[in-house]
Amino acid sequence: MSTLEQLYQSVLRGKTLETKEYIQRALEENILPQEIISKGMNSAMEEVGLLFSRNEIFLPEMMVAARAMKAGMEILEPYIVGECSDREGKIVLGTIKDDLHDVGKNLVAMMFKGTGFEVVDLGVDVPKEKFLESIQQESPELVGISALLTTVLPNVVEAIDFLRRSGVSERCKILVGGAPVTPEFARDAKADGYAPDAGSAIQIAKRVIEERVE
Amino acid sequence: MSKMTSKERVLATLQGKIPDRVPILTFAIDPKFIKKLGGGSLQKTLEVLGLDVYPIYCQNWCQGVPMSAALSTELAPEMQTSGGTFGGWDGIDEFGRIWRRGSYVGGVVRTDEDIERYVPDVKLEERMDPVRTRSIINKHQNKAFCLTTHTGPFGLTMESIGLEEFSYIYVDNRTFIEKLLWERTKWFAEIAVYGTELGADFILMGDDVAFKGRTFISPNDFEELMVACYQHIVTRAGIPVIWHSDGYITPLLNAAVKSGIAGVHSLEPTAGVDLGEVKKDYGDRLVLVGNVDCGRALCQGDLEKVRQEVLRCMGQAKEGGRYILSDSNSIHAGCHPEAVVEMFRYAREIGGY
Repeated sequence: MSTLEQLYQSVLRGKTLETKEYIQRALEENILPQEIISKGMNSAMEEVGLLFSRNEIFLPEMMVAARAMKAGMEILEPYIVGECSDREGKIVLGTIKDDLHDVGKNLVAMMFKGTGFEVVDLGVDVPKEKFLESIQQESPELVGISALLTTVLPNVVEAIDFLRRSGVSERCKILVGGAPVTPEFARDAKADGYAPDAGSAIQIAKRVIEERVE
Repeated sequence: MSKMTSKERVLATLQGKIPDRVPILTFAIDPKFIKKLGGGSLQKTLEVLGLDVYPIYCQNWCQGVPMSAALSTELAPEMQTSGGTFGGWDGIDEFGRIWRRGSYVGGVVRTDEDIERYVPDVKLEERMDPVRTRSIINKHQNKAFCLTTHTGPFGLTMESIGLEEFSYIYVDNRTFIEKLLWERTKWFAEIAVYGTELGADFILMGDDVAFKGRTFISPNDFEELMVACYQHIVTRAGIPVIWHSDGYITPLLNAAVKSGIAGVHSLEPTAGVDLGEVKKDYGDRLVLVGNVDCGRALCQGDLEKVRQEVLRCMGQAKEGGRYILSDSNSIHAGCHPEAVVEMFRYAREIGGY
């Protein structure tokens, strides 16, 4: 098994120490950092997302995989500063106003980072104006709005309407997710996409970006 | 069939017999809803809703301040709530959970010392106020009473550590998780025993173990970890234990049966629970409680939609007994009062056997 294949397996199984070791070995073998990230780690995290969305792995396994990925990225960051990034895209993420829950949003953020996206995390209790400001500053391809409380769903609707009226949604697609969010809600709220879980969020994001490009 | 009292109706259902009609209950009512419907009086709210089951509450504290607002008559300070189901307080509660503006935001338990500190004294009399509880039970002898507490061992273990850190420790140091689970289990069993002594007819054990569409941990792991814990609680309690959990718990129902759990509550349709499927697979072994969608049907004012939702649940689960109609989580602050009243009224109207 090649070093990159071993790295892939270590991320998939959430083995942080092994991940660090294989990254060091890959660097010693003069494998380019971008190749280490894309073939050894991003692909592993995509597989993690798929396994999670199919209920073949569960939250703890997904979280330790994301932790291994993060530890690996910390080693590689000094090598990729200044390099031309071949990132998948940029997403602004936040939990909607009046909702302080961040686990689902954090999980989504980790999955996006793990699969090569640049993530701008606005945190929790985010008002619509802050989403707009960030979109204007960061020019992301996507904005992700998370909600856990049923009672804040009207705030999600209001934020989407606000972003649509501001015109930014023409270049930045809006994704929604969270426990009370359903496909019907997403459709009625005029979101561009709905992710039922952190694992499938990546696939949906990529599809929405492709549609945007087309 | 002759008309039963609420108590007879509920007990018959729990025993797997056919009652005169499907009983009705709710797990928790948000103080803001109590304010809207009952002018702040829980007693009046229960009467207006015509519930068959009255709660025996179990008080918890956050830095010395009473909490568990949705399970008690205590109103959370207005400025500290964010509109969530469980109004609450800022700070770290006695179990190690961190609360901010009424929302759970994480946990602090990491070490054996933390376990000592955040598995609190049972303080049975302070928690359940025996004089007041016995007086309420005596006053409403026709009603069934359940000890209602959202302090089950798994959910509290996970929440008191925090979901992210729980995931890491779960993989890195399972022994620590097992130790905390057992401390929580023994604690809960003590509470359950006292509830039984006070006159509870059954226990409604809140223990969240699932998300929308998935369980927190794999069903195999859950069975390995939790069957013995739940068996301990069921055995010590000596009365039926109904397990409440949010989320998609269908894959965990085998574990519930093995544990001796009498029934399961909430059965969230929006989380993926198919009541008809659960009835077919477990209806002869578990009392099913809930499934009326409180995220949509109860949050709007079209009462025909509410009746359709009640009709759907009755159609899927009423036949053969072992069904108690309830909302799919709680009566939260976003529920429309008329919708909730209509849900229970219509259930009484069409729930006869």
